[in-house]
Amino acid sequence: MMLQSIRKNLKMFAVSQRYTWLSFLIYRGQALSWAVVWMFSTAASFVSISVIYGVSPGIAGWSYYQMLALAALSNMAIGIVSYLIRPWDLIMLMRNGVFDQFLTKPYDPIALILSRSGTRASIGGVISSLAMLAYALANQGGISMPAFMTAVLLFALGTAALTMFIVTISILSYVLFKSGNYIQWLINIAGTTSNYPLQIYSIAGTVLLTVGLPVGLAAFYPAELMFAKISYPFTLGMAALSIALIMTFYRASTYLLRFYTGGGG
Amino acid sequence: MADVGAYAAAFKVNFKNMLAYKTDIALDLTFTILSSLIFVFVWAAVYYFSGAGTLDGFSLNGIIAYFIVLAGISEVTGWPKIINNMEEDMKEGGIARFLIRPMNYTTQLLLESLPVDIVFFTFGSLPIIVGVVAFGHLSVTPSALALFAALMVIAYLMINIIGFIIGSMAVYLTSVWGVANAVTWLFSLAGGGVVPLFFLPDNIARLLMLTPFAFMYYIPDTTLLGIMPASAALQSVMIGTLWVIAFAIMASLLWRKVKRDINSVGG
Repeated sequence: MMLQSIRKNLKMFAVSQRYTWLSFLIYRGQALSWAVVWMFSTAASFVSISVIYGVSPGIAGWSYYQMLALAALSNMAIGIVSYLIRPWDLIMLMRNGVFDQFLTKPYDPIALILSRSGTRASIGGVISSLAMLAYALANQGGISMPAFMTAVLLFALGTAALTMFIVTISILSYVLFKSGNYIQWLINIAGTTSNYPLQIYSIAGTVLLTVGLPVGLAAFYPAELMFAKISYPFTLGMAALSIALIMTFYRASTYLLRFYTGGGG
Repeated sequence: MADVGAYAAAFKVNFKNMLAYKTDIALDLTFTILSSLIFVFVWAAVYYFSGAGTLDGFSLNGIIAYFIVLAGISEVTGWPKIINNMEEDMKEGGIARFLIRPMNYTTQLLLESLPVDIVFFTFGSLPIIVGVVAFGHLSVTPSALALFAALMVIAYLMINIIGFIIGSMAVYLTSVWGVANAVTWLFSLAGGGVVPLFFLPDNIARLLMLTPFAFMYYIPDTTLLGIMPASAALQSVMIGTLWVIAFAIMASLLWRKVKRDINSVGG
């Protein structure tokens, strides 16, 4: 039954991707300009890290290529999250009443949100980050395949936790304020913060960026695992935390939807 | 020609409208300062690990001051607020309503965006800059302050004229937000918004100093902090003025063409 429901929602997600992509690509110039905007964040990370390592030994415990890999994972996570959910779009869907239609459809409302309220342009950020990651890993070397594969899994779980967190606060923000411009700023801050090792923000910052705003789960810990800076038991703990956060935020967002009232339309 | 009273009334209304979004303003300021704080943490870690008092001749305190002042400057130069209304006017045909008024459209745009910038400058830039100077015990000379003010005016004019050029293109493009974001990102990346240009190789930094990019962040910032000598800042004022004139000519030529084509869109 549950598997059937997952399959049904995944099918809906895949179909909606086709249509949102077609719609995005109607205006090719616009699509290209947005994709370029997303690539700038990767370029900014690259320039910033290159300058830091050009004028100094860098950040303790992290080589230049390791830092590039961390920034790439961080930008990729933000790119994937934004592909799935853009708070501004979700709140507009709620404000103009289009979201009412979502609730009448025989699909999971969260799956509908993830299929309809993201930005396709963020794929520019994902692609440029992948290129930077490949460049960094090729130059760093010495990464074991099991560590890499586990890091990919941890990255996927962390990104899912971050996505669900953004969905939850977007719905909460609509329920409370009928607005949510600040969430995009929060995502931007999260993106920049997670470009660097969490230790530099002190213990409080590390905890906040792991549990409060779980951007660390998506980038920092997978990078640490890739470069053998954390043990497998600790990794398991982080994976369990990611799963717990995904479930908690999923339940919280479906609960919050009970308080949703359409904004007209 | 509209009289001064009409301009003042329009400005007053727009100013009041702007003040209605107090929470948005406060949040914007908070996030701008937070963005700069991230770089403060990063550079503090870099200096700590290097164990050196200075990197390329610059101390950690200097870098911290640079990024905090940057937050103040970016409140005014980070985004051409003139675009915010332009695209909507062009796309939804509201432009027609503005064009029949006895007031120049560009003046109306300025009267809409100026209150926003005044609020952001007064409640954002000014406290940050005064705070850095006061708490950082910086000795800012009157000439550095005067040059900083002149460079901020140049940066403000430049970003808004560029914004006007991009906004005018809304007649031909489906949306100008992508272009506007790409341009502001480029300005940040090449203008010292991400890394101070003094850390770049000399020839690249010198080249960037001649481009409009450096006028948005690096040149005013380093002028205020006394990193850039007064003579170089004065030279930048002249180069910046030339850029403003060049962009104004471009904007004027483009606007003439746009005005001819404007009837075919909106409604």
